Amino acid sequence: MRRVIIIVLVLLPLAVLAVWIGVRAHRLRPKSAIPAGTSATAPGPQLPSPSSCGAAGRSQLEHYDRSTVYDWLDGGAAPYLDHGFTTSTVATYRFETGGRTLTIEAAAVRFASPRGAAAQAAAETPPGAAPVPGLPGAHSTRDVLVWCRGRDMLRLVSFTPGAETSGPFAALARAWLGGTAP
Amino acid sequence: MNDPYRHPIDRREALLRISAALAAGGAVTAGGIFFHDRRIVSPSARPVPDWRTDEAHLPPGVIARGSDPAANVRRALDALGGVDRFVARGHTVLIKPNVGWDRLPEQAADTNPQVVAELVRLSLAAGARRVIVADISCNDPARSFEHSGIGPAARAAGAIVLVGPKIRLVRTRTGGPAAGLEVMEALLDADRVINVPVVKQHSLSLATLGMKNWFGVLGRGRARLHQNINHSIAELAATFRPTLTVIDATRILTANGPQGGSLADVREVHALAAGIDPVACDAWGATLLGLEPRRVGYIAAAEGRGLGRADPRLLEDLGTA
Repeated sequence: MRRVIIIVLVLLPLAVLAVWIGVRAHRLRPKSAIPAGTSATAPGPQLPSPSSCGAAGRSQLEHYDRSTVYDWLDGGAAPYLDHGFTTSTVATYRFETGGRTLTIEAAAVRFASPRGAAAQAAAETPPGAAPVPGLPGAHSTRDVLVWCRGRDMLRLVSFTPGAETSGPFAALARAWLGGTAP
Repeated sequence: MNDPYRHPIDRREALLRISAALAAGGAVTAGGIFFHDRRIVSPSARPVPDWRTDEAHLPPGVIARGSDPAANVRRALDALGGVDRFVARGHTVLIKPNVGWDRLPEQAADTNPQVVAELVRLSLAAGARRVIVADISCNDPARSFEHSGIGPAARAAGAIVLVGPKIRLVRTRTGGPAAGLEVMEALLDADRVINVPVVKQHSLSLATLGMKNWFGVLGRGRARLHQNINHSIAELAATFRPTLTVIDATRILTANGPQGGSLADVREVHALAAGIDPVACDAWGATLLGLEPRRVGYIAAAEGRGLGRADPRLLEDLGTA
């Protein structure tokens, strides 16, 4: 009986080791072979909930930081990093307006300083973009809105070129300003 | 002779000791299996084929202009002797467009879907057993293929469209900056490869064209190639040698690339170049962005490595249809 106990005591650590190895390996192994391009749990600037801006739906939030920004923007990440990019949150909103579906990509981007955010916003503001009434500092065309607030920048891109976007753009931007939690 | 220091063991103890040994061996084996990463140490890493055909007598490339993207494809390939000069009956053809972004065709961040679809149709008409359209997108793959129009257009033309999880990645014997990165298996299995990028400004490399488009066949970790991007792109161009390069300039993205989004950054050119010299084709694309080709680091580097000639004048201009 004593020998059985000794052998069990020897085997027990081995079994624990095997379980530990299994758990560690499961955590370390990449979940997908395709670049996900997003650190899903990273904190970042907020995007509003769909209900707060009148959207019919929103895709899953994607978060990026300095180590994953190239997965989001590819070579477009270079000027972002030059301007002090720290984190971003990206999602696509769906609006139903007048029997038509309007899809808008929203990116909330945080920089290390207001100066960096302003510089990036200026670089991305399309030529001919007009100031948006009620949103001081925001500029938009029909397909893009860029707004800088402090060290955060909001960029909205419409997926329906030529469609009337001023309503959904303004609603999204106001909800973003309100800091509505997702 | 009996050894006084060695006790005889009975059957029960023998079984217990054997069980303990087997359990220990099992634990070690299980650990080895869990820790073993085949993608890093597999000795069966595959070589990257050379998909070029022996077409030394052909011009390096041609340029076709006109408002119909599909017609531009047909004219360009006809001028090169027809698709069946490159694609034979039974071949598997992989078409590699740029579907990196969740954008619409009007936003010019992805290859024009009509260009891709026409290449699918021509390849099938030439007898290809199957035509695969694949890219590893930066944005959500399903949305990118859907919004760009490439997924629906390619499927309607008869292609197999590989999106996201359908793309299997394997280790290859690539060296240089891409060493250790995985490559889409369908590419390595293909008999012929047609590289179909769109012309875009690129914040880091000045332009993204054909040679840069190879980023889209690489798996996780490719972002590190941006650290020395011109060298990396030239290295990729030396690794991946396509049968044909077709540069789509139906619409080009002149700023805020490669993702874009604003229509103000898009210019309609209504042209494309097709050829067997990927460097000359990229050189032509660079000129559309107002760049002197040899001032684009990777184009100069690729020419320096003998991968082609950075001279857009080598491409025969077929004029406007």
